[in-house]
Amino acid sequence: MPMTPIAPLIRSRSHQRHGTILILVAAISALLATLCLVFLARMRSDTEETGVVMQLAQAKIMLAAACNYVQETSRLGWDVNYPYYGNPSPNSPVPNATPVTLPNGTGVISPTSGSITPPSPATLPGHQETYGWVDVRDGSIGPNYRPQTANPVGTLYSTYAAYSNTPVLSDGHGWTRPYWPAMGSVAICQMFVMQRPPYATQLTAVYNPIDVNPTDATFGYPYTQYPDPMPVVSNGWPQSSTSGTISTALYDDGQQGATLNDFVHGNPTPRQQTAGKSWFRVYRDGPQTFVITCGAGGTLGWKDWSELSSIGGAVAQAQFNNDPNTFMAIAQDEIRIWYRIEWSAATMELTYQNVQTGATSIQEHYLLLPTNASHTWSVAQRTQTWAKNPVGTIRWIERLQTQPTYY
Amino acid sequence: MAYHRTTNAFTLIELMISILLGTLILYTAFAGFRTASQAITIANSLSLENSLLRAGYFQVQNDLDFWTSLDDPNNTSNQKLRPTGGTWSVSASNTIPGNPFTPMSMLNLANGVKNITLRGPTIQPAITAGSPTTYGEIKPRPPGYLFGPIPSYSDPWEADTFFDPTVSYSPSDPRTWVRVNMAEKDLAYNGPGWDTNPLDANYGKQDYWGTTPLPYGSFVPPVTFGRYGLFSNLLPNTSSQPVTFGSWQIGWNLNFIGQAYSLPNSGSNPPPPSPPQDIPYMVTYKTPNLIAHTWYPNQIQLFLTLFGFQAMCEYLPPNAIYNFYMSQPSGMTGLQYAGAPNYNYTPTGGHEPSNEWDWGTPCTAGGMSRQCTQPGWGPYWGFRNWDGNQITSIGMYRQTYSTSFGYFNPWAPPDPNGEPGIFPRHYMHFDSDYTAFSGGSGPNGGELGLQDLLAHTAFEQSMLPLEPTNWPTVMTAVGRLVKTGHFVSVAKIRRLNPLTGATVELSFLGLGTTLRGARMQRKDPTYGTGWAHWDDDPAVMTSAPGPNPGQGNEPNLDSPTPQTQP
Repeated sequence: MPMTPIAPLIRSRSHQRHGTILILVAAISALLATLCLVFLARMRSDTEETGVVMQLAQAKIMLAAACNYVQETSRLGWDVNYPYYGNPSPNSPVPNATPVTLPNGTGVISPTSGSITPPSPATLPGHQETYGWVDVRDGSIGPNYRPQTANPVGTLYSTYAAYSNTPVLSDGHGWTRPYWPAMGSVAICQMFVMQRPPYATQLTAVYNPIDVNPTDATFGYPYTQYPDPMPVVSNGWPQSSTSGTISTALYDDGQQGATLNDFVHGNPTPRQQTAGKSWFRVYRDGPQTFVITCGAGGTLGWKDWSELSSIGGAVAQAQFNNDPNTFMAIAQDEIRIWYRIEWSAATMELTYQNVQTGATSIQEHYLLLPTNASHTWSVAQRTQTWAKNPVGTIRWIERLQTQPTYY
Repeated sequence: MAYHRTTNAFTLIELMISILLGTLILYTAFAGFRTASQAITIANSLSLENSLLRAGYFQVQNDLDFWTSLDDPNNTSNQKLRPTGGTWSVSASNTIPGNPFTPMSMLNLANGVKNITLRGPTIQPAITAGSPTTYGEIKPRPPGYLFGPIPSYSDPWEADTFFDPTVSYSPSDPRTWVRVNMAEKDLAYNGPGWDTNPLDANYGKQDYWGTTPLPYGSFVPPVTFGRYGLFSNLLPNTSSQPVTFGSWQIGWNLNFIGQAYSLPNSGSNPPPPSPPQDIPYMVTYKTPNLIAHTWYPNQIQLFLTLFGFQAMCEYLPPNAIYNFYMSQPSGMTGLQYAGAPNYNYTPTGGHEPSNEWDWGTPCTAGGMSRQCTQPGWGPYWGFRNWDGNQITSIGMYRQTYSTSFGYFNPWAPPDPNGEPGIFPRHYMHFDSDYTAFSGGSGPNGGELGLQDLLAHTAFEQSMLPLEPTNWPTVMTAVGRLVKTGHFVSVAKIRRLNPLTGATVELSFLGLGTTLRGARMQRKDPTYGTGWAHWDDDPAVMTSAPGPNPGQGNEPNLDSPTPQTQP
């Protein structure tokens, strides 16, 4: 009787058990993989939803930025040459180098007769203080510059308008609007971080350290031999020696075209990680009322492709690969919310302490003390210097229910 | 011959090993599945918690922009801040105060239609380039007044006595200039606790016109620097609204140095020196003295009773001085109006102090509004706080640095000790600074007052009242108050896990719609409930009903007069 070979049987059962284990392991692995995928999907979903939270936060921050922008531009920093630059993107931080024809409406305005005498741009100095969206002096529509000529007889002052009402920019939908900051104009502000902002100074804490070497002739003297502070861009100011040659071009190359190397203009190129995050638009719909559009996304503040093409031109189109669908896809992922605000020149009332009594309480500054105030104590910290506000206030903010027609 | 036994079954050892291995495999599988399942459960739970936290974030952001926790325009049951003062005790001759969301038109009607002309639409130039000339447009008073005639009582811009939402409150407009005497102080006020004059034998007992004389030293004659009520007052002193200016003793009467002093000119307590050593300077005023500036006093008085004190701070510009000159009751020498209305509510019993603070006179000897200037004057400590303990003109900073105003959530439960409801709270100031540590009394004093303020302004409400019991609970709140001249919106999101007890809270200061913006978002109830439509497209606006002929945009809660539906 032949013996039954056992080895194949054993191998067969072993193979069966191996298969069972394989099936079990495979099933468990599949289960775990499924669970992991579900987990990852859930996490991704959460992340995407959190992204919306981040976008909303960015958009709300833009409201604060826009309010600050409206306040600051009511008074400060208007370049008198600004309206004369025919830059296709009028809100670009880098204006065109070539001035264009002086628009109508700007010039010397007599507050009595209303006559306008266009000034020569060459005679106007650079940044000038203005007096509010509604001129705080007389209620006229601003912003207006200070007078550059003798006041006409019988008038308190003369002024220049810092804006032109001439419609020049078409949005491609039949709306032609003037340059910012005239009424009916729009400012588009992209809120990226510049590589180097204008007028950037070094973070150096001490430019003129006191010499601590007892063998030096200057030992212990607090000389201020070097400028303090100094620009990030070296403009030739002496730093380590007194032999530097000051470079006008590196200070302000605006006359020869912004080269991204000078102190005044800085390098407005966006830092990559901050680009496409958020922006705001300001539409001046009245003398001191504004429609604010707060955006969180990558459209750079353009309303739509039509506006981008009409005003931004080929340069703006190239930023979106000349593809309207790309722009639309980006716009669909964007959050846009609208507000209306009113600016006012009013600031803090005068019963607030008007001199710095906290630090120098025994000194008389001959400024207006708040009459009848009891808090002029020697330890009082109430002082107007803690509450500087040369730029006015926001009277009210209204979130708009729907997208307005013009913004 | 070798013997080979056929193996038809497992040996015990094999069986045990196989069972062991099988159990191990099963356990591993089970443990893996269980772990994965728990991980998924935890992940889902965390995801749910995060989702609810995000939802809470969106909720508070929405509330910052639309104020729906205080007033829901689509839900009439959540419009508790719209009625007028109602049951709050005010005298019949006073205006009826409102709540923060009381329609402007309702208050105008309730108090008799005030003199108001919407002047914005008449101001030129019209705005072009796609921008409308219509309601919703706000313009400054047109220039020219600086070179025009001297302002007079006949100036129609000065004659307005109600709120005009179409004209901006521009500092360049002379009618917005406060003309009170900032140096004027009523020192005749001898409330307890701040009159440290050792000569004052009548400490805490005396008012200016009282029968008990004040000793010299605790009294400075009113209008020492002149009578500023001649320049700016509630009424213009016309024939229809006459004002009588009485004679006043302007200077110090040196005859009474070191002696008791009796006013006015009773001259017998004690008798003056003989012969007199000095003659007080007396002044009379000719009539008529037409008062040129009446707009500002009326605006201040209007907003004192319009929507509450924080709303007053919002509607008036930050440089406003909360004071004006007004009438005095008859029988007093000084500024008098014949038949002048008294818009201010006066203490009428109840919670207001019943001691010498309750003078019952709406103005000081110089004509300053007592409600605006005298600490604690009025119900629930009134408008003026105790900063400086002076009867002087002040603005928002001094009014809000040691105390605060707020907007109070109508859904917050009433206090168990019967303290005032939501409506009076809008007309109260609460200790919110060092004052909260000084142990003040009353519903709005001391640390209890601060707690009351925070609990009722930042009242937390459940975001999902009907959620499953095992779900995390999310409470949200947006508290709005004014502190040290700053308008503060505190947003809070609190998430509580009922299974673990873990609590997470986010709080931040938000920026969004202000009260005036929120009121402009809401439709005037004349047109029903809901949101007020606004657009800057002239075509849209002219086709929609509006308050002005040919203009669109639906009237909102700031529309001052009820409009007829076209």
